[in-house]
Amino acid sequence: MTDSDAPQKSGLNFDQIIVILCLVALGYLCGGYKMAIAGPVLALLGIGFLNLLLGTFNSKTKAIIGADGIAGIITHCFVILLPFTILALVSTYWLKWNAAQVFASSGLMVCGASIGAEMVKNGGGRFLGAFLPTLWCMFLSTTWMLLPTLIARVIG
Amino acid sequence: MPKSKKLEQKDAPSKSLFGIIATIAFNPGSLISDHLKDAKVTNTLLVSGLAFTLFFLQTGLDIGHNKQLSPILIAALTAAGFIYGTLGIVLIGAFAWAGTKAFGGTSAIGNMIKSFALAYSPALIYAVLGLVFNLVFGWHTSIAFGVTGVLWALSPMINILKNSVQGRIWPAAILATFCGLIVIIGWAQIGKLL
Repeated sequence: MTDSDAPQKSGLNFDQIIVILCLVALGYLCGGYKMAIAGPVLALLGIGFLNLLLGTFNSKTKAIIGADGIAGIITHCFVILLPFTILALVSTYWLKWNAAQVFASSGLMVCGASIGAEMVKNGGGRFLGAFLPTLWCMFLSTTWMLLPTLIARVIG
Repeated sequence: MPKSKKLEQKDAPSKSLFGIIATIAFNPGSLISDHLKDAKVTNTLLVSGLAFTLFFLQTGLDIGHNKQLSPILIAALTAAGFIYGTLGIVLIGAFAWAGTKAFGGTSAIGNMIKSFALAYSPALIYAVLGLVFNLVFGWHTSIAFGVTGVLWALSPMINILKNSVQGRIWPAAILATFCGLIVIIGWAQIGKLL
């Protein structure tokens, strides 16, 4: 991992804030105020669990960059949500499309693929390093798409 | 050789059945881009050109589902897609290259354009699938498949940009946002002309 690749302690908080803002914005676009709360909660729980999974099953990576390094990779890669969020905002408010879910689901899946690529660069295995985050983010993306319907049924 | 490079080579995907299935499921674009990485810029532009040709064709077909649209207009829109996917991608690649220069990037303009063209490999796969669903089932596929494909191009695009600005994610994310906006807004404006 090069210095520039390594998540910097000073930049990490800013990255996290941007990721949360992106998740709130995408949640709002996908399902209003309720989803603006539930969406980020779901995604952050998913990110936390992914962090746990990657740390547990990638001991080599953990030995190279540590648990903080793995957490940093995840946050760092979730910054990729930014282009998807801005495109979703533009498409909703300017182009008047009703397609925010397409942007949110693609964004989450791309984040997973990106985490996988970074894990492999840092000693992660092909399945447990590369495909596990991709699969997990695919599951997260599917759950995100179903969440507005679930919220509507449970809360109304 | 740097340690990360060694690890990359060691973990390079093999041609096992699992690898092929996983590639088709998670990274379909690599089936095309892996074969064309040593090709000329003009050849790689055929990938993005074809992707946008099919994407714009679906846009014409979608509009045609709702209102009367002459085949000539659909053909014109399809041709516009080819120009958009070739000349347009050259311009967007050049814009991204200039952007990376502003952030201290070192990559050559030809490589940037070539990489951008190949970044649309997943879009080509999505466009082919979308066209099948459009023609067979009469679905509106331009957003569901076309835009999804274009969004998937952001992933390799960010990686390309990140590599050319010494691994920094923020310049890459900002430039990819602008490139994505140009592509999506441009497509939407052309569609509105009909």
